[in-house]
Amino acid sequence: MKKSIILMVPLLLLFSPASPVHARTGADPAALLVKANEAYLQGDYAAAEILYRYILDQGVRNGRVYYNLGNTLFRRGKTGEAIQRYLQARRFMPRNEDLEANLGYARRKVEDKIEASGAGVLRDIVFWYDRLTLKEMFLAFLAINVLFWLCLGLRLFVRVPAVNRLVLVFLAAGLVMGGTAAARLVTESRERPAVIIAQEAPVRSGMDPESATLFILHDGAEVRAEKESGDWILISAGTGKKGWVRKEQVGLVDPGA
Amino acid sequence: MIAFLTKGEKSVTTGLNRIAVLLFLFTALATAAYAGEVTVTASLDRGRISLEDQAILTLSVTGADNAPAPALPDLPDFDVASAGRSSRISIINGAMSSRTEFAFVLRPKKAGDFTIGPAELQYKGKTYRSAPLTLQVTKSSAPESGEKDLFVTTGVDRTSPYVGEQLLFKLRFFSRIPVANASLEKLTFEGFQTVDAGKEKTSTATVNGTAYHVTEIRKLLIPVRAGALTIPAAVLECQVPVQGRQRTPGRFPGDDFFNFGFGRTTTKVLRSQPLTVRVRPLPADGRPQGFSGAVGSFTLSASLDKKEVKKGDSATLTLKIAGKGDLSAAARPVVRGIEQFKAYNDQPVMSRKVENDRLISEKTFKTALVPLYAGEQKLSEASFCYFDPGAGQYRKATARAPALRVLSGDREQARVVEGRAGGRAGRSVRIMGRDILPISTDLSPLRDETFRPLSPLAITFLLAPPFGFFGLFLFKRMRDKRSTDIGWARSSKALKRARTGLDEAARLADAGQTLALLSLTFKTYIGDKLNRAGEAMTPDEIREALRTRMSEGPLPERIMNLLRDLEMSQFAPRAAEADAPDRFLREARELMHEMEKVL
Repeated sequence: MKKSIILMVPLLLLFSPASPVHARTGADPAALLVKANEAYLQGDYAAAEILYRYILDQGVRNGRVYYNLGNTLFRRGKTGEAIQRYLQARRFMPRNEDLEANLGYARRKVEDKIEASGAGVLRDIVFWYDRLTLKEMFLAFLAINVLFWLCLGLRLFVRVPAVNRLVLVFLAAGLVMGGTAAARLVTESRERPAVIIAQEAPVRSGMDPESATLFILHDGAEVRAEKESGDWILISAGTGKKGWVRKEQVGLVDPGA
Repeated sequence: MIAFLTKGEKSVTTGLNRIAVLLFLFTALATAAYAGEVTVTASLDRGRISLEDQAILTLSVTGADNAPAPALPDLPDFDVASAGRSSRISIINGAMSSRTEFAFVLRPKKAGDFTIGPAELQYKGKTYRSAPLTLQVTKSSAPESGEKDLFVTTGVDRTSPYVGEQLLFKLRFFSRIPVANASLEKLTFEGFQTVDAGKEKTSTATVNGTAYHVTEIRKLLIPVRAGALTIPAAVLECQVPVQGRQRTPGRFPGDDFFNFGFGRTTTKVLRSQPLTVRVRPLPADGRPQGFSGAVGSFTLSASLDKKEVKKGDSATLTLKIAGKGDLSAAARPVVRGIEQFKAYNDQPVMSRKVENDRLISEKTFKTALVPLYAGEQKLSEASFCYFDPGAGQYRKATARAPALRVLSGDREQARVVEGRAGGRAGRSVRIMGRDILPISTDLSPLRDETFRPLSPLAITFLLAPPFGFFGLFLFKRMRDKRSTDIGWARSSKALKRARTGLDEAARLADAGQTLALLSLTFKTYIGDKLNRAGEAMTPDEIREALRTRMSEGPLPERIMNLLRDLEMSQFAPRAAEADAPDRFLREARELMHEMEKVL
């Protein structure tokens, strides 16, 4: 009994709310969030945008803040930036229906239709890939890890087939969940989702304004950022369309949530 | 045989002599001829031609071996083409002369009297010039009454079209005499997009009472920019029979000496008048938003391939624009109400054909629609803006697609503006508009949700389970050893048991009993460590056993001394000192501590 309580303490710590942010920054983001929400509801979108951005500048990474900022930017006619914030919010709350609805609505305003590239079937099989946050995947992996070793330990003392099966099940589950989390971490660090946030962004063959324009993307077009170099970002838009875009015309979606 | 040989030798000698003489003569004559004066002369096959004719300019060079072609004078009013080169050597009265002729075809561009300047030959550092010539070019070989044998006309059906408006270009070749090898220079239409309006047509026509055979070529032109656009003159070349003896036949192409079944022919070059088309820009006033540049007269139709679809399934919306004019620039029609669907556009498909000298275009736009909401979904109206050049104004073609009944899916819920659809079963929600859903005003604590995979706690949970397992594994292994290895089990528990005994001995009040229990406990401890019955072992047996398990040193000696002192104290208690029990107890504890390290 005493041992189980000792084991529970770090678990509770791990799942408990994080320490208050304002203790770290000196501001109270929760109070700022209330003010930002009030400004939004009163139609003062400019003020709301400033407040939401300020909260994020304090180092708070929270899905609600990103979502609300996305709404604010959409109201201000910044479709590309709104989509960027919605995508960022989705990293933290991938199963939020309101967010999905608004993202879908914003996407319908986008001029460019870029076909999704690859991994469709794989994502159907690994259905949780887009339905869980990276943090949730990692926590699930940790939980499976604990259960696997517990069963393995139990197997030392209780030699029954059921325990053996449990060991195999948890081993497989741990490999799958850990592999999925690792794959997402690697994918997101290698090809970050990005959104065009300029009304018109010429995609060029090189990192030079005089380079040939390969194609033009418009506000809200979703692309993948492959490489950054100086003031330029190498982006890929759908299958086979690659080129360099000026950095200020692209909004990157931060990985990890 | 000898006579024959003599005759043969004589014959051979005679032949060789003759060749040698000829070679000598040829060389001598050639030297004499080339030593003569170099001259360049120019001549025309005729001094007067019409615009439909061509003249042959011949430049003759005499007295020059391998002479290069003389440089032609500047002839801006003629099209000039080379017609070949010929050389000949003649010996007249022993004097040899060489002559090289260069021929050029001159095609006049306009009527008038022209002077053809001298041609120049650069030969061995000297310049030789021909004499200038004059050539008269008349407008037509035929009288102006209109009784020409051949002529070409071009025309367009409208001279001031709008940008993007199609116009018909016609080239007509009139002939009342037989012609052969007619060829038309490639027509150029700068500033126009061209579409062939069918194969050439032949017919007969009467002009000023004269019957002509007419060949007609038609093209549809679509101006792509505003302003005065010029269509250059069409140039047609053909060969016609020579009527009567007009001149001495020449030796070069185009110089009337071809026979195509109807005797000698001459080449005629016919030109039409250039055309100027004044293209009007599309009016800026009234230009609707979304106008993509389509000019003509069009209709729009809309259709759906299904009347009923499940939410999540797709239906195909087909929008078709058709009519007179070019639809290359036509953009996808605007469809109101499409926000109720997730729309996937296909590439548009366009077809064009020419009917009755007019371009008929059709452009089809297909869109896969995946309804987002259940119920009766209506696409309000599809519209397409174009410019009607006939009316000179912008028009809007509209079409309505039939309503699509969307059956409820299993997974998604209908959404309405700023909230979710409710209502009783059986009644569909009427969608009034679309907008984003509201912000989150959740009052739960605001947490930083950043993912930190390398936090100490995460690492603890990652690594603690395997370490815990390892601990369990060691525990299991120890337990198993205890149950199977009695000696190891006794040895591992020896100290614990001995301490209990020592503690009990220390609590006894009687010194004799204390020493007796201490002696027993110490012997038992040694026995446990050696897996023997310690209390029954003699000092010699203990010494021997310790010698096999311990290296040489003070420890075995101290153990044996303690055992001996304990024996003596038990059997001669009076000789023992008062503090002996405590001292022996301390010594026993120390020795056991030392023995734990080595046994």
